[in-house]
Amino acid sequence: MATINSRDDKANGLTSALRRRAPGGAYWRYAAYVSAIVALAALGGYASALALAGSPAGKFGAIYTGILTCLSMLFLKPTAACRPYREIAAACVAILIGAGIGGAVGHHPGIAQPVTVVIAFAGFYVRRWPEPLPMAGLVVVMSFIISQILAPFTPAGVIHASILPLIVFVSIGFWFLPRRVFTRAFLMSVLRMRSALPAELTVRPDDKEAVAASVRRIDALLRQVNDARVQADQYDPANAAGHLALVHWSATVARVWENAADGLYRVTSEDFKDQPDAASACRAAEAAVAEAIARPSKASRGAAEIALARIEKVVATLAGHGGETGGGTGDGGDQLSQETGTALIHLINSQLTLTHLLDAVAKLDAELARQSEASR
Amino acid sequence: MSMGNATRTGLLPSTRLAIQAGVSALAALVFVNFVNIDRPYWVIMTAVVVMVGTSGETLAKSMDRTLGTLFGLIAGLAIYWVTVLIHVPAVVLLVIAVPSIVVLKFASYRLMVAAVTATVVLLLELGGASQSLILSRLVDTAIGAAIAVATSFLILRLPTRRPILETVDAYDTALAAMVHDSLQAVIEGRWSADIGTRVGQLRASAANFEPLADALRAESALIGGGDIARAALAVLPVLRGHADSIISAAQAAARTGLGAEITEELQQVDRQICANLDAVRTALETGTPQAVPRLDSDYQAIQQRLLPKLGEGARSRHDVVAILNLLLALRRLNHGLRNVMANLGKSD
Repeated sequence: MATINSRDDKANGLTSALRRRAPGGAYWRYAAYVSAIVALAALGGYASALALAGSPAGKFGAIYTGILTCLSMLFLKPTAACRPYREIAAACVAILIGAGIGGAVGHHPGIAQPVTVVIAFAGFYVRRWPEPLPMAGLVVVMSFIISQILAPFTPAGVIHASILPLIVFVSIGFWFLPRRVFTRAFLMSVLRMRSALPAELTVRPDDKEAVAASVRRIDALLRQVNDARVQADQYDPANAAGHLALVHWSATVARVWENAADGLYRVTSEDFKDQPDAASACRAAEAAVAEAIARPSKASRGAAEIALARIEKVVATLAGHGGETGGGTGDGGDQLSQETGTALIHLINSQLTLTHLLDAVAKLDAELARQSEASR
Repeated sequence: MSMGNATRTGLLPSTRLAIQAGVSALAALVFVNFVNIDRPYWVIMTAVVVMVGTSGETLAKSMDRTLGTLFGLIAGLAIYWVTVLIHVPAVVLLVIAVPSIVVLKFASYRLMVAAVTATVVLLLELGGASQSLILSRLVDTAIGAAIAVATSFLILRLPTRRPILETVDAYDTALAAMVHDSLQAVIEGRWSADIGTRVGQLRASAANFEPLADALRAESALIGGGDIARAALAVLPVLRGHADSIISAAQAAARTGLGAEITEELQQVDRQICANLDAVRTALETGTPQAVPRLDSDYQAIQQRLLPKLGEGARSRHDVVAILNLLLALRRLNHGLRNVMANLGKSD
């Protein structure tokens, strides 16, 4: 437990933000992919500007093509379609419009200024329509404005010379976009939260502070699930409903764990001094449920259910009706003392919350299996 | 033009945003024509790209952009000087610069802008640009951001928060009504099929909520988005997940007939959960986290009332278990509300 705490304390700021949002190094992989495309685009822009506009233009062609390819990749919001034909077509048309007009009016400020206002308006107006048009609107705005920033320093024709490599490399970038990286990262973050449960259950919080710390750890993992889901939705919108279902079950598991942690620590050996079976039945059930979550199988699930049923028997025994299954009429057994009654309530709550935990994790597993299948 | 006027014109949010962007670009152009600036389009670019939607979001993004530019300038100059000192070709840094922009995009908009600015500084240094030109990027960015903020406050302010808050409100009300009806059914010992329709209303609200939250996020220009959208996205799965378990637990509890014996306590739980739901709604509206009390004392009072039943036979014990199960379901909902509030606090 101390290890987990100290690890959490050390995680802060930027490192924490990136680590929690990039399970499995998703962001680094995506960054490597975008960087490779941008580097190739810059080389293409350099060569194209050199060939079409002369030697001083090469570096400006590389800068314009590189920056715009990078921004286009960052602005991209893939649709649910398997193949990004529409995104590519929209981006290409946007580049043609933005860079085409930008290159044409770049050396004529009198024309460029009113055109800037029109392009700013149009670039935002298209947001009323579904993707990829909003993305295309941003690409038009950026390609036009960046061309105007470079215009005073570039020979005529550089911006136009960059259009071909831009279209080629943005198309390649969109086509081979590693969308599934984010889905896998999302699934990994759910798995990370799920895998933390058996350890929390085994260590077993034994006071209020420990319960709160345990709940905070699981909640931190739940927040990572939520963060990862935003990226998964953006890059894999076809499975957005499945992502939501998975977050829903993750949130349910987190809240069930909060209930369980809150109930389990209240069952103490001290309360059952004369009935050691009660506390040991609860501990056995905790261990069996932890095992069933850590290594799910029919056998482990069966063992957990048997262990949970044992708590029920212990409760029945302690309540003075051992083994009785028929309808009580209010005339059986001795009056329970306040202490015994409270201890029994805690025991019943533990049994209920452990059952809920087992069920919630089983539902989460089923959804995880469905999503893993869908992401292949 | 005030928000009221904008509402009367009936313009779509995208039209208002487009007009804002156009006016912001025009204002920036007018400004740069009056003042001699090295790179007039840095002002214009900032005046356009920080336009997000609501004036608050535009303000936040403008601050992020200006601060990010400041950090980027400092970092870019420092990195360049270090590379000169240790004789590393500065062009090598460009190889690191692009991945940094992409990775930092996922951390925050401010950090991404810092990485972009650091890259621009390196490019300018490699191109032999003067230090004053590099510093002018910061000044131009601040001017552009100020123009964008002024435009977003003065021209056709966008009520993008309103639709999402209305939907959250409808959802919140349906959830409170569902809890109230369920507990009332337990108190009366009679389950009504109408309560099931409450869950249907919840699902309908959730269905509306999702595209609205997405729309709000999509309207966040360039990268990033409003805290309200992220908070709302967190609200949805947390709250919806507990409706079904409350319904099924309450249905079983209603059959026990024990509700009549704990009427006062159940009504107190009902009132407290409604108050907590109101607190969440207020927090979403104001952006300020509110206190969401635990319900421990109410649960303990119910448990105390049920203690004698444990010794009254198996059927009584099973009835008590049904009530405890309902309490656990309600507890999960309340934990969920507390968790939402904690997330709201972190998003600030």
